[in-house]
Amino acid sequence: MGDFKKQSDLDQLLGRLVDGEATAAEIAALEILLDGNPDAQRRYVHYLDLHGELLLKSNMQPVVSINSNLSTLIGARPTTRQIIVSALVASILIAFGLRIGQWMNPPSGDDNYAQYNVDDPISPSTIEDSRDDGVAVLTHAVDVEWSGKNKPQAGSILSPGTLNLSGGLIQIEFYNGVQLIVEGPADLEIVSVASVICHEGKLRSLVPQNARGFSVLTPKFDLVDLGTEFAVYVASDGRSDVHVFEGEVELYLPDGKRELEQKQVLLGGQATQWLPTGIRTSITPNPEAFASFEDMRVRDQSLSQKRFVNWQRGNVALRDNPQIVARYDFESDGSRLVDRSETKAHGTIIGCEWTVGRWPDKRALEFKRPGDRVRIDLPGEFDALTLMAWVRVDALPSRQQSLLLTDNVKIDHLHWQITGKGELRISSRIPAQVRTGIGYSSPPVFTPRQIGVWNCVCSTYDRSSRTVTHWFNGQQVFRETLKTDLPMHIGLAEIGNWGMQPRPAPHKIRNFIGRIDELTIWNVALNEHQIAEIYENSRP
Amino acid sequence: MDDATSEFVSLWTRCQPDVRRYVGMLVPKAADADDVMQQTASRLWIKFEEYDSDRPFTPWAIGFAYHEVLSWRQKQGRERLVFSEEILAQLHATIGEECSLLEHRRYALDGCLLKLSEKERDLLLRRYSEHGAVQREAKQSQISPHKLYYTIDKLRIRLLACINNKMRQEGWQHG
Repeated sequence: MGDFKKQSDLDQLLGRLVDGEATAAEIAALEILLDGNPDAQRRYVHYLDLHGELLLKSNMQPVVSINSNLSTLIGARPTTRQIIVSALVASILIAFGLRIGQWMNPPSGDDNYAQYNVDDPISPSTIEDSRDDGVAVLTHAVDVEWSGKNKPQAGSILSPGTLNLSGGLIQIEFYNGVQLIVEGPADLEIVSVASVICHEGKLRSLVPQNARGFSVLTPKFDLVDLGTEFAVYVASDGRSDVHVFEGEVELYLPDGKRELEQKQVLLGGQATQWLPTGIRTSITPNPEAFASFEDMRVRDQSLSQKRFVNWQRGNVALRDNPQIVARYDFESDGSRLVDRSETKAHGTIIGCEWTVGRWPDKRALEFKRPGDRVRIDLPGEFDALTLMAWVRVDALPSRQQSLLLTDNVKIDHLHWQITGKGELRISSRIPAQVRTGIGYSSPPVFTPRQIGVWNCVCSTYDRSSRTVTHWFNGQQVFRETLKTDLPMHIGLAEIGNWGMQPRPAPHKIRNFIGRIDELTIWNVALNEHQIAEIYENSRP
Repeated sequence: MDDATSEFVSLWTRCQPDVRRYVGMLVPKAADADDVMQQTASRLWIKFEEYDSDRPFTPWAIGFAYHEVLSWRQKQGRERLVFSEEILAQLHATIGEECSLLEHRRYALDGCLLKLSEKERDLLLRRYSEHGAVQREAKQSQISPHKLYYTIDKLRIRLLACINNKMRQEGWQHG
């Protein structure tokens, strides 16, 4: 779907280009589509060659004669007839193209072959998997109340689509470097990496030189930026402001034609306002009316500090909870991972290094090398379990990654991991199926978009309701009836790796790649309200 | 004309359509492309002594044309509608990979043009043969020029699809 859209966008832009209609914004959009994309570049070459050929066929293309400069240089002007005859000869010499090719792209064995495999039909799935239609990242969100369907959080990748916020502030960074602060109430549509539509709201934008051409479309005007800092305000009653703080923007009528005669340039230190009636006046630019990038940073920082303090308070309260059989808050240091529960099943840290967690002041362990792990020993037999962890996955290899794996593969012992497909999975061996075991996998929740983002994973195992349930960021993503009715064990186990594997070395690689900054195990199955509440109180 | 001059004129005249096609892909506006062509021709003449006649002339000429495109680009102010150097370099490489196929594609175009209706073909070729043809046609047929341009866009895309199809039938991995 997304590719189809891109292809038609590309074709439309190419049409505008060859018809000589393309604006600066469209050229910029075209550059983004072409950059590093061999398929798009090939389409470009085919389109332009078709255009050139049609020109030639219709005889409009002038046969460029050797120009006057050159004629004076060489002292003789070839006759028109000579040129036409030679041009005819040239058009018959179809082998020319081949020679250019050989020169520009010298044959280099397998490399040459590889270039023809770009859209090999036998491997569409791998190509499909590695694509993403994201155009920007939501970098900060302060006191945001989302009113639409789309409720991204800080760190989320944004695809073209609508963002509705009834209040609060967000900061968006587009892949081309454009930074945008949006203050609610706002109704914003991200069209592409080069353009947004603002139906309502306050925007402040910083456009670097290399992203010039970024455009903001509103009901009253189209704004094309030429590398600058500016702000736009579209009120609910239709009043609209443009304030340019630095650089230069172009304004056009909102009819999409961008006719040059209508172009109005607004320079740094200038501002203009449309009243709801459409009457336009010059006003004094007012930077204070729009949250600045510094405000955003400070407010985000203080919010993050507040959230961290809030989490610390909750953390103390959880310590006396008898239903918790192990609680690793990752706030210790040295080589011991302290268990804050009564069990005192402290972990031994091997390899992992201490680093920063969900908040700047929160500690976390980084799992990177195949040897990195935390060994624990958690005795007991459980009729119910809740496993909850805050993890930041930093890579998604096509193999399993351990969250918590019991040593070896013993009957009725817990395996909790992320599969190669990004699913959350609980499994164990049972007497009837010692070889394969049984497992419960959620739909894929870890996609490339989750890389580098803090997420809350939670799984419950409950014999009384006979269910296994998986949760992702407080939301239930999977629920299935238990296939066996047996108690679960943990015992000797590893966080982020798999120890004492059944076969002698070399061992299967199961290490987790990323950071973990909280892991709690309950001997009950928490319900959806409890899980949602814990998630709300601990999210970054 | 002395020998070198006549040899140059003969070589340049022969390779010119291919060089012009190449330049046209990087510099779509005809007037700009013609400027680049003129600069290229001058430069080629100045450097003609260094040309090794054992090697094909066209690739040698295209190397100069590429440099002329880049230096033309540098002379354009930022208000001009031009691609960045980075994109030009990427397109240059892609043209190099594709150009052995382009001649086959142009051949396929003839058959594809015949698949359009007479009316469609007429509109398309007129757009290409006369300045202001679309505006005139719009006035005559009472159809908005915008709509005609849209139709022409669609015709080009249909031709591309037809060419891609033919290429695939002939066994090329991607049209």
